[in-house]
Amino acid sequence: MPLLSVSYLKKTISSNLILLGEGILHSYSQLFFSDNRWFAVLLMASTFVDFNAGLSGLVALVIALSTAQLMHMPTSGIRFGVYGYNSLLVGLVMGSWYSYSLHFWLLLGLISLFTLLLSVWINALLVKQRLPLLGLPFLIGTWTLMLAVRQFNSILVSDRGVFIFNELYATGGIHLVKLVETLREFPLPSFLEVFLKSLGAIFFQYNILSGALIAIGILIYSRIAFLLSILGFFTGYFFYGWISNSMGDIHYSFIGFNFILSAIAMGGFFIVPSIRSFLLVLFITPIMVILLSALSYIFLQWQLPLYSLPFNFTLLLILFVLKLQEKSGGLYLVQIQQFQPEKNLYRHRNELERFAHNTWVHVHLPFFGEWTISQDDEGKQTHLGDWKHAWDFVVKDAQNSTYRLSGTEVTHFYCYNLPVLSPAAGTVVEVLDGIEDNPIGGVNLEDNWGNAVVLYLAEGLYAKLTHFKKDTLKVKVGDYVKRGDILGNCGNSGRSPEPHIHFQLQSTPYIGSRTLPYPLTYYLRRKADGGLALHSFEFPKEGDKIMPVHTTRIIRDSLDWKPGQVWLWSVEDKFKKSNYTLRWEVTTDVYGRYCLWCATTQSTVWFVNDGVQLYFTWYDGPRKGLLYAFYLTHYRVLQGYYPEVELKDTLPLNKASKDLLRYLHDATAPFTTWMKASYYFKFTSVDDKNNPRQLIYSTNTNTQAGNLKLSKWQGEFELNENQLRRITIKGPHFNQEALWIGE
Amino acid sequence: MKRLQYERPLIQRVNTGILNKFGTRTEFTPFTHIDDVSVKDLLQQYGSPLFVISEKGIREKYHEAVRAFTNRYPKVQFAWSYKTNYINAVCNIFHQEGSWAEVVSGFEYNKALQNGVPGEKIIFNGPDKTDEDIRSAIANKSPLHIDHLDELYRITELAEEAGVKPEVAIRINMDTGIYPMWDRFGFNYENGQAWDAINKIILANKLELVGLHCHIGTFMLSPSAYAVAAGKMADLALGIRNKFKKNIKYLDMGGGFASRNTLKGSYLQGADTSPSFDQFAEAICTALLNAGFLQDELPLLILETGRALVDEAGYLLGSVISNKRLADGRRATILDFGVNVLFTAFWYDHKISPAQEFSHYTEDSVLYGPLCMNIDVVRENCTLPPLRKGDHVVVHTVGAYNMTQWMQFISLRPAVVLIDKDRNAHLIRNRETLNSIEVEEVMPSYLKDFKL
Repeated sequence: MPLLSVSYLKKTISSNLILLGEGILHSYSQLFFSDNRWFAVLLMASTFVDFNAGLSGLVALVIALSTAQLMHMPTSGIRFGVYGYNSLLVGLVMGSWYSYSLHFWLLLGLISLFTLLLSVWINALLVKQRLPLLGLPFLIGTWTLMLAVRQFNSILVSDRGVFIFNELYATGGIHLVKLVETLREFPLPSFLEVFLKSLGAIFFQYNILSGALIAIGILIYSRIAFLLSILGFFTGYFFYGWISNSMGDIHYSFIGFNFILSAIAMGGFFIVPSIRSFLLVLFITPIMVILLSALSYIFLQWQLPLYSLPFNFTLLLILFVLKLQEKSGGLYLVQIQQFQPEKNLYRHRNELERFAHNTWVHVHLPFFGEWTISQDDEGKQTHLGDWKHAWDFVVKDAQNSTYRLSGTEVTHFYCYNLPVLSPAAGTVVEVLDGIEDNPIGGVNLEDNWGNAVVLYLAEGLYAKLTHFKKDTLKVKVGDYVKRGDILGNCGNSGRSPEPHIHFQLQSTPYIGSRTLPYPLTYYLRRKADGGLALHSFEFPKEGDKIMPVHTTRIIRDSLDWKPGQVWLWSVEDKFKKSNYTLRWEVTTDVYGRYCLWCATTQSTVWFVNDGVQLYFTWYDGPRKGLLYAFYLTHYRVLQGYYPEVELKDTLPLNKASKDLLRYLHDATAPFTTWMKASYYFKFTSVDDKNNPRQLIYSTNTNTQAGNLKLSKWQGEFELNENQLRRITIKGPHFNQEALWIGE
Repeated sequence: MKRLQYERPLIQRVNTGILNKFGTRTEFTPFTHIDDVSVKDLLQQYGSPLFVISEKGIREKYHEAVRAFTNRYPKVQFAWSYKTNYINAVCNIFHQEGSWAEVVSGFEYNKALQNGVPGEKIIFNGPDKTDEDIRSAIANKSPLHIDHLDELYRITELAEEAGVKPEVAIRINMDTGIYPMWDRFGFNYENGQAWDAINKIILANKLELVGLHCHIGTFMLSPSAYAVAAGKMADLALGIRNKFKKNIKYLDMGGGFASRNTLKGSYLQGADTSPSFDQFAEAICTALLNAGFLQDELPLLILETGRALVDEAGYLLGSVISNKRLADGRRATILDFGVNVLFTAFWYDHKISPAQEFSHYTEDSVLYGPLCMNIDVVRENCTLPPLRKGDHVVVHTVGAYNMTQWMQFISLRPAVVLIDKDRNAHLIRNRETLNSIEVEEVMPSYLKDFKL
């Protein structure tokens, strides 16, 4: 037992240390809205250009994070540095202003703790408003410190920076002095010098070297952020110069970093980058200049530096206001933070393209086989006014006629007496029966809707089908029907000059209710060349020949992934010429969304199975390994065997493309798109179309810049006896085949 | 000005009797083109007589049938009945449209395989399957439809021998209220034979019972019989599900749908009395949908209709050999095709049209074929304009059963031409030659020579 407890202790300590390490790195990168570790290391290095400041910053950070750990604060706050970076900033300020002593360290510890408490509290307050913490605890902590230190004689203001050459000489001898002198004399235009120093000022490093390091870091981190930092800074810089006729604070305390931070935050981090977000930066920055001038006048009275107060205030103001919008006016708030403007942009665009029209309740066509739309939304005959969102369906033959023989009897019409199905699962709330069919050409305006059924699908969503043949209705009020259950047969009752089905969605349960525009979830449309196209969440148009999607059992069963399922794969890596086994698990995340998890590569793929399609919504993890390749090549699968149907979809560029060209694309991405990652899906073979036991489909995933083809992935997947048995994926530096070996 | 055509004078009795409801019936509308291709040109190019098949006609009819069924039932599969017309080009039109093959002999089976139909998509029906046929079907994974117990036992033995569990179905016969009842094929539903066979197959566990098959008759004019049949088939399938917890994958409702031909002795024209595909589909699908299957477990519906799909797409073109007056005063016309080529003339009053313009005078006549046999009558009575030697006629609705049941008797069998969707004619079967008949003959050496 003691052995066990020692190992347990070791395990706890090591996991806590890992958490602390992650928290430290994230605290640095958080300052620039990133979660990139390399960027964090670069930022950390830049703080050590002024060694004293860097060290006291790091110490303050460690104190804050480990205290948060001891106090069992929420792990996510520690891991992502939310509880750390404010203390880090306080530490940096303290290290650069005051000289080291015993008192210094003690005070550092205490003020770091104070800032931590503020961070936890203010964060909890702001989270409720879905607002970010930003730097408020730092500001309060630092000002508190500065005001207090005026009473504490034991804390001495550092004289570093005053005798800068002495220090340099002491550190690196004459060579360092010369190097710094060269750098200082480096012929930089003053605005560039100010820009770089302002960047450095974010870490209280008022020198070109730190600024240059940070600038390089930002460029590596995000091209969009780099553009934004330039846009924000120079808008502020020139506006300030123009309106005040002097450069005052901007040159003196490099307060311009406020413009940089808020430009990145507004232009691409909290708001999806776009031409509009850039314009927002352009308009908000001058307001910040005014705010900054006003506040600096007040703070001058107390001899306190402003630091990032203008940035904090402006950003919270903008975000709070944007959240109150009734609908998005082109400025989209980032919903799920990806910690990089590019990623935010690509994800937003991708989701807009893929899911913007999705509806919660799925509605399908209410019949078997191929029918034609004789009147659609806003049809010219009867779909008018409040009743304009509806469809009329008839059956037509190859000659485009709806009847055989003379067409003078209802029985001559192809659709007459055909079964009408339930378009979705729901409860029958209204049934009207007993109305005779009209003779052809006649209409019954008294019983306008004829024999009808109204189904309750969801709160505020009802489906109505009308013109049934008398006495064919198989349902009664209160019945629960599944999608595809037969409701009755098509007839010619009501306002119907020839047999047809009238189908509409409505928000109230009455037979005469006004209609609701609501798309059909999935349907197949006959193309001019005889092929079939799958449509999702669309409104079919008049004249379209359409049919419902039937799913195929083997595909449905093979892709019916339920949490708890585990698959073992025997993988042959044909590229590296090696073999290994892999374990994938179906699981759920904290929001209850289904995902596939691979412990080996620490990666996750989120998927949705809506009964007709299985599609991936997101991938998280390193861009290598089989699950990543699976994400790229199994992106969307149709669960009904239709060999003539080809599916197409798009992937977020940052997930699909490792091409160098993409970094260039990033810089222009907010304004234009010239790179695209597309996905194509097609069934390849099947052993028996009607009762398949083996089925193969293949996919292509390509990245393209204009007409230039870049990376290319190919996948082939074999289903056998209700299980995905074989995965074969080829891509750039990738060629693996996985065989299912058990659960 | 065009010269008027000469017509021989004719004497006609004044008909004072009661007209039938269609007036005095004539069939003399000239039929000069098939899918815009001139009958005259076709005969000139390929000789007379000549079978012509319209690809457009086949495909349109097929689409009509598919539409009728798929609009009423979610899982439908057609299987082309080879015996109806097994000219490879015709079969392949159906296969291109997605039809499987339905065969009833080793010969037809091999034909389907040779056409490239995958083994598992060839349904093997019929009471006569040789050991060789069964072995071949098992090897190719073709569903075998068992007709009688002896066959069931033999298939079981051969399956054990091959060490596999082949997929089979059994043919069911039943009383659907029509006469004659086809009880000579398969196992009877009412007297329990069907259940006997089902129990034997499932309990022995040597064969995989995947389907049930029936074929209630031929040239059925009553769709309601199919509703009865479908109900009984569904009852068996649901019974199997309840008893053995086993889902039957498909119900094969066979064929037998009437074409638009007119049966001999029928008062009304076939075109007016034959039910449409919609009517047959309605009877079958409604019965199946209401039978009580779970939505997800509805069996695949297989249809083997042949005649109704291909009959109307086939035409027989021929020429007049001579006119003569019979002893009783009736007029007779001798054509260059007879029952050897037009086998269905035995049971249909085929519609026959002249292929050139005529005046409005018509005359009743008997149409004879060219054989030196008294039975060679194409139509016992047909109202046609006066025809001259060398004039052309078109026989309609001959696509089914003629190009398979035709006889090489006295004369050789004619060529078959297919007119494609773009109105191009393709020769799909050559006119037979002496060699085509003699190629299979063997002459013992002592009979080779003779002196006269």
